[in-house]
Amino acid sequence: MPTPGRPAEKAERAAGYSRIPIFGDTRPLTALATRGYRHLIGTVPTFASPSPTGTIGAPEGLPERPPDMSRTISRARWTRRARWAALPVAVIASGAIISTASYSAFSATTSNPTSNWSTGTVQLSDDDSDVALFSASGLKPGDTGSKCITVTSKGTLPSAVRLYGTSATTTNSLSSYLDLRIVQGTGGSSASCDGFTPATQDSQVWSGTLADFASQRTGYATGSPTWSPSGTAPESRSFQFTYTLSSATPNTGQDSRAAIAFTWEAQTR
Amino acid sequence: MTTTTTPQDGRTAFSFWGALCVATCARVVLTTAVCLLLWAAVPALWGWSPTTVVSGSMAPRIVAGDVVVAMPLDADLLVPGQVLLVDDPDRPGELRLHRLVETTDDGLRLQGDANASADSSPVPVEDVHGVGVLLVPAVGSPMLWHGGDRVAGGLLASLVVLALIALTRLEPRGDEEVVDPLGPSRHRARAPVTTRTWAARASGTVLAVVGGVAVLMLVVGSSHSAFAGTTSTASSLATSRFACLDRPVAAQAHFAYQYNDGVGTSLRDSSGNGRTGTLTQGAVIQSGSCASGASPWLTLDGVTGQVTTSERLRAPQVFSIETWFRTTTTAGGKLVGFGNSQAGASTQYDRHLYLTNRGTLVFGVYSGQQYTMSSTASYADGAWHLATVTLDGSGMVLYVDGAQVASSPQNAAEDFLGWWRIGYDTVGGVWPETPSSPHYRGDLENTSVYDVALSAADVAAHHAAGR
Repeated sequence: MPTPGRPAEKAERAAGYSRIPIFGDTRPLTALATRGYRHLIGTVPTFASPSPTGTIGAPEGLPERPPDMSRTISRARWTRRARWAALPVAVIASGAIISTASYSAFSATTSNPTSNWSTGTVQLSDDDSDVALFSASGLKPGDTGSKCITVTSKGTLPSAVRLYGTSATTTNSLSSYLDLRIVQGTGGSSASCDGFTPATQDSQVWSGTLADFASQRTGYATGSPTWSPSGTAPESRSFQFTYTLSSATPNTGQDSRAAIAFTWEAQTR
Repeated sequence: MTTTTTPQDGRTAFSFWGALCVATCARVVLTTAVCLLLWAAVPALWGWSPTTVVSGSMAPRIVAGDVVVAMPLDADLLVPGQVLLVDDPDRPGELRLHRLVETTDDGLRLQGDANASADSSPVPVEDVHGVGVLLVPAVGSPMLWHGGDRVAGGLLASLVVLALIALTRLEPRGDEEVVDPLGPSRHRARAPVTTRTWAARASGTVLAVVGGVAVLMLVVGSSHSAFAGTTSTASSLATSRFACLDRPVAAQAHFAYQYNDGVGTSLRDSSGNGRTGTLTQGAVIQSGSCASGASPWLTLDGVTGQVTTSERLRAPQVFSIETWFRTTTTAGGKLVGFGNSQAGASTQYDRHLYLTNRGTLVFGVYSGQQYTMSSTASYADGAWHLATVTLDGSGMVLYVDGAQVASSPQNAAEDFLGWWRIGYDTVGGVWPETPSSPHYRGDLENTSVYDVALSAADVAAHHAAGR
């Protein structure tokens, strides 16, 4: 775009030239004639009649134009028009884009959208068939048990899986005397831990009491990191849970119960 | 216009209009992008939060690369369906853009449109940055290019902008514009562009574009709108009675309280006879475990604490009483006895073992008169002691710590109905060295009553086995 205020333009204004820059000169020829454009009349194409209309008495003493001058000036006009038209087009376009998108996304009437979009998902499943991982009763101090479960990520996006506890309950602080060790690896299933092999690195997911797990691993933010599926193909991990009722469990831990749901959550990275 | 060419014209008409078209398109694209960026960035001036969405969990309405401008809003104006920009509850320091599902006591429940379920972590109301009001599509895309490498994205965006600027330079000017020496200045020749000024102008443009893109990227932050999926497995672990706490109990036991119970006021009868006892206020089982020497015991407070039994029976004429005790009391008190009141002060009572204020042990029965036997030593020394009393047709014997310390030929006691009492009952003034407190203050362990008179060997063995 032309930069206003160049020295040449100042000189031009001083010489009595005036311009309507956006759409070019569309004024009647008579108007031009009164505004010092007399020397151009007859050669300037107007918006209404873009072809030359012939020579109307060019004043004496002014140089003759070359024959292609009119086309050249016409092209210059078009160039200017195109240049200036870009701004309003862009303003209107951006406003339309934003208002349409914003209405679609934020209008309250679009609430509760369905969740069957398949743009890319994160899915986790396990092989426990909705049977509790542990359901042990009559535990005595020193008793121990171990179970395995396989968790599969079928998402199509790279994600990070963390393990935490939900719905933790305990009576008589029993969970404080239950030592819990969670190891991740491969092999094994909810049916049997046969073939379970701990991962070569970062295999230990948790080692501590069940009470600490329940109070410290309360959600995704605080969950124990496990593994990070790439999202390109289904990936499985096996987890071995081992509990031990501490041999130091006091008499107050009798007839008590501790329950927790172990929850794996995958979120996109 | 015609497509004929004229030698005097600098360009063919085709190339002129083509160049004009390309340049104009480039200009429109560029200007539109600038307008969109202004929409995205300018609201930051008055405190609204523009953020780039970096993942697709709000698809299809909001996709990665979009810029969302969030307007701060009072908490009580939040309604389900609004898209909120919040501090990510799962990733400290990051932002999350999800739709409000419901408001709970725990906080706000949000959900990504493309997620199957609501986010697992509730969001505190104070973590809400604002409600999405403007969605500027795609302008944040450069921030996501090259795996979110903002430098690479910024440079790429700058390159695109520079390319567009270069395209606008295709616009006819120069030779066409200079051919009218009499027209307004725009039509006149400019000063010839030297290589040096061209280089300076170009580098200035490059710097301005790169700088502008960088500033915009700083103004427009990014928000994470995570996809999430969960799976869960339940587990429950339960205990019953810990058998490892229990001591073996002789078959002739009438009842045996080992004070190994868990939480509650009920006392299990370890003899298997089901004569459950009850703890009153002031009677507390002290915690212990299955570890050696860590058996739990009972503490009585000397004010209200006692153990009551449930069985009302005819007072036996052959029996043994056995209990471990540990105290430093100087007020004495009843350890074990038999009385006609289950829990209160009996008016008829005997077969009782009590501590004197000196800490000596006295056992007495009533059979027309009081018959008693006493230890000479004091046992209120803060150590565990085993006290055992037997009565049968051959008389009665008092053992302490497995050894006989007193005996009496008296072989019968009062015949009446009542309850065995532990820790408290009347001790009248007619009994020797009546304690100042009928309530025993101290510890008890393994209190048993047998239906036989234990032999001296049994008593010694029980003591040797420890408490």
